[in-house]
Amino acid sequence: MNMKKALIVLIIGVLLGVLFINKSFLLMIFSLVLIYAIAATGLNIVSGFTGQVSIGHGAFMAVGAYTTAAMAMDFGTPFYINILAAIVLAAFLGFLIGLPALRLKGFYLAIATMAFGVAVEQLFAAIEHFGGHIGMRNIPRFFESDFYIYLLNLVFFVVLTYVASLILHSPVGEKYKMVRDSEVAARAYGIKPSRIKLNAFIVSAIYGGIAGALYSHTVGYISPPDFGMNTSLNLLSMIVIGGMASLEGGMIGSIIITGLPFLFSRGNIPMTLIFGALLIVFVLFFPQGIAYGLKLLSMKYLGRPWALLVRKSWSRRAEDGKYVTVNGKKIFYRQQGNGPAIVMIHGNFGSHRWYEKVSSIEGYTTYIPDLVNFGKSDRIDNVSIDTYADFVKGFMDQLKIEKAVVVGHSLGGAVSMSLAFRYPQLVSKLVLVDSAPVNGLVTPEENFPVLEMMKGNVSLLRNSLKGIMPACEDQKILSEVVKDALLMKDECFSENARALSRYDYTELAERYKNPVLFILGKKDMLITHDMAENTLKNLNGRLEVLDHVGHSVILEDSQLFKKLLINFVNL
Amino acid sequence: MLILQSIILGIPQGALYGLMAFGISLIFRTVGVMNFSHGNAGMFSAFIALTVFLLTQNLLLAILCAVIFGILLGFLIEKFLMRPVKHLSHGGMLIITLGILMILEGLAQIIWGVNPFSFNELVSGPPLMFTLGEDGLLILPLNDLLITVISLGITILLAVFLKVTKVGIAIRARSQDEVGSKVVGINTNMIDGLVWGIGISLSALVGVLIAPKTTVTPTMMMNMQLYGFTAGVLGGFTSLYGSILGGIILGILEKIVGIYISPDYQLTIILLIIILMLAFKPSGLFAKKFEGRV
Repeated sequence: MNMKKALIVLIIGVLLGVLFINKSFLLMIFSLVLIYAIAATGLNIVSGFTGQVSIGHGAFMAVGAYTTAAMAMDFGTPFYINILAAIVLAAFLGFLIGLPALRLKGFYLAIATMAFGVAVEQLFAAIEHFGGHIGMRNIPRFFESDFYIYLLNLVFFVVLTYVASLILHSPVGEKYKMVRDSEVAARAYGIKPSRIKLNAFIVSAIYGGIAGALYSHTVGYISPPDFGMNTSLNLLSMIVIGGMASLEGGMIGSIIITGLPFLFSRGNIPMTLIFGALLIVFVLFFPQGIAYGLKLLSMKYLGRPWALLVRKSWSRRAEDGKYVTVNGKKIFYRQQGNGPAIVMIHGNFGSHRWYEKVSSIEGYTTYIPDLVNFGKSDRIDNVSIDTYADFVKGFMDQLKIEKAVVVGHSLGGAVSMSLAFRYPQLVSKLVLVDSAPVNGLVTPEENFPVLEMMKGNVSLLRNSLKGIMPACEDQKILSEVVKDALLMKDECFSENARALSRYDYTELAERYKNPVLFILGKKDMLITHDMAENTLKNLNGRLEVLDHVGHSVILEDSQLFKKLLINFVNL
Repeated sequence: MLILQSIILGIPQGALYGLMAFGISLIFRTVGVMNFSHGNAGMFSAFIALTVFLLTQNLLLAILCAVIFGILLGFLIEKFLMRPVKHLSHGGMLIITLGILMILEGLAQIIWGVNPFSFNELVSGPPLMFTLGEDGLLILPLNDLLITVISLGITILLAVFLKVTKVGIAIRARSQDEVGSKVVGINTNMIDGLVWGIGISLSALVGVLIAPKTTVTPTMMMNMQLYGFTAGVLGGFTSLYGSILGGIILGILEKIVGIYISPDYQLTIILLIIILMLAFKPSGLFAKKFEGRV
């Protein structure tokens, strides 16, 4: 959550409050939801992010609530002093319960925290000054108006969530996750797991303490059972249902766990039954919780209309170029200059635009097609590298290009290899730019859902394209190639990647004797140095490694690419 | 004198705590789950016993039904809830037992309501009295004596069962090495189910035995479970018999605190013991070494 998101949440919260300004009962529920969300966020820090399941978190709320209530009633000190005291006490208690946590793991820790939770509850019940089992009543509320109380809670919630996100994205937050994932690995990196756990406990205790302090002045009366075992279990249910290790999880869980009882208030079903069932169902079937589901849903579907719109309007746009018909399919291409031919073939998620900045080569004619299934060219059903290459051959035949220098980027590299190795007479020189290797490029199976998701999510697509051109600073060209990528045939988002794993030209490569140049960016995340060398093994080729670029030197450093290309073709 | 009396009153109570801890640590040692629904499973069984008793007026039958129900419940929990996540996540198993805890409480509230029911003692009669010295008088209620005898008897029975019978040896093998026990042909799923059954039936027995004192309510076993955990922590979850001893120590301690300090602080002080024990000697008083099972 960044500043912008925090402000949006704040504004939405205020609007919601204004909407129900006359319904003080609803505002009260909203306040409770926010308070429990704060406590749950705290619990999530220690349980979700640091992996230490705690079932005594109600105790921290109890400490916060009783501290502020007692101070306000006994000494009449203002809230900002009381809450400081509550924070200090809660942190101290967090430190105390964190101490056994230094040595305990898993179940033992759960027992310790449970015992701690019950002990604190019993302790408060035993102190006469705090009203014993009956608790304290007539605690001064923040304001007369429920609306202002709600606003105050909202501000606390937004600020605390923002702070939590700061903590979690700081080095300490990363250490939390390291300790959760593997204490051994964390130790290997010089992290003391015990210290980090203690740290997490104290932070989450402070959240609990603040939530408790808000509770006592929002509701106006407190009693030990308000912060007992049930509350602790409810907090745990919130983060399990909402989403462990997710900042939104606490809020979502709190809406469900705090809000649900008011829905069922007429029936006789005990809430524990429903919460328990929810808890088990979520652990068994949706262990990542609602927050994760929502995120996935929004990634998959929310961006879809927008992606569709972008795609529609972009495909209508007139492009400056020509069409040629190959095997009954129209192929879009751009042509520039005079002289011997250079054919430039773009990669996966690509289009002719990728070569826009390098299209004028003095003394040569450049032909830059959109491959079939890409950009403005027609669609075909058979997705394979050889088919793409056959269409390029047809394209060259139609335009009467007898011999050409072929440039291929990424998937285009595989296409141009297929073309060059099967029809060596057509290709005088071959330039491979971060090309898929000679023996195929296997995309891990777990990446395919993400590739599919890019269809309907412009920002995801943009981010991943940005990822393969790390040194590109031209935002305009980036957003244009992103739109071009959307024009790709629907199935091709994953089919192209599969096609890339289905070929092997290792033996064919021996038939090609002409010079080859392989340009590899050192920051390339897809093509490794080994792949490039392996590709050149049976070829008459040279490897050029560029330190400052990634997968797409064409866009990242067009001038350098042009220079390399001119040097090579003029050789 | 007072201290002797509190020891005598503490032992029966402690024997029950020990029995509770025995079930918890049996499940923990074998299956690797700390069962947080242990107390409520016993509570639910006690309600079953109550229902049977109200229908038949036969106390023995009622207790038998509760124990059998406990075994069944254990089997069901293992088969449908624990098995799917057995090798996936300890945190998940822990949270599921918490879910069961909540569900059982909710179900009991729906079926039997929140009003307490009274439950008959096993035996009623004048308590045993001993006179010591001039003004010393020790009192031991008959029911307490029977509870102690039953608890210790069951423990010894189970100890023998685990030591000599084939199934008992299989259980111990499973607790030591899951893969190894599979290799020699032990059906570990079956064993796990059985262990859950035995564990929860012990809790059911405790529930029935303690019911005359606490009355039967949906929250009757909440503290019992905590005491069970404490006893386990005192004795060490890695040693089954340590938990019985731990339970008895705990029972006596509880009475002493109740008599000398204040009954209000009984639970708080006992719970502090857990935290201190866990902080400084998590292996327990009687275990040989801490295995750190998570």
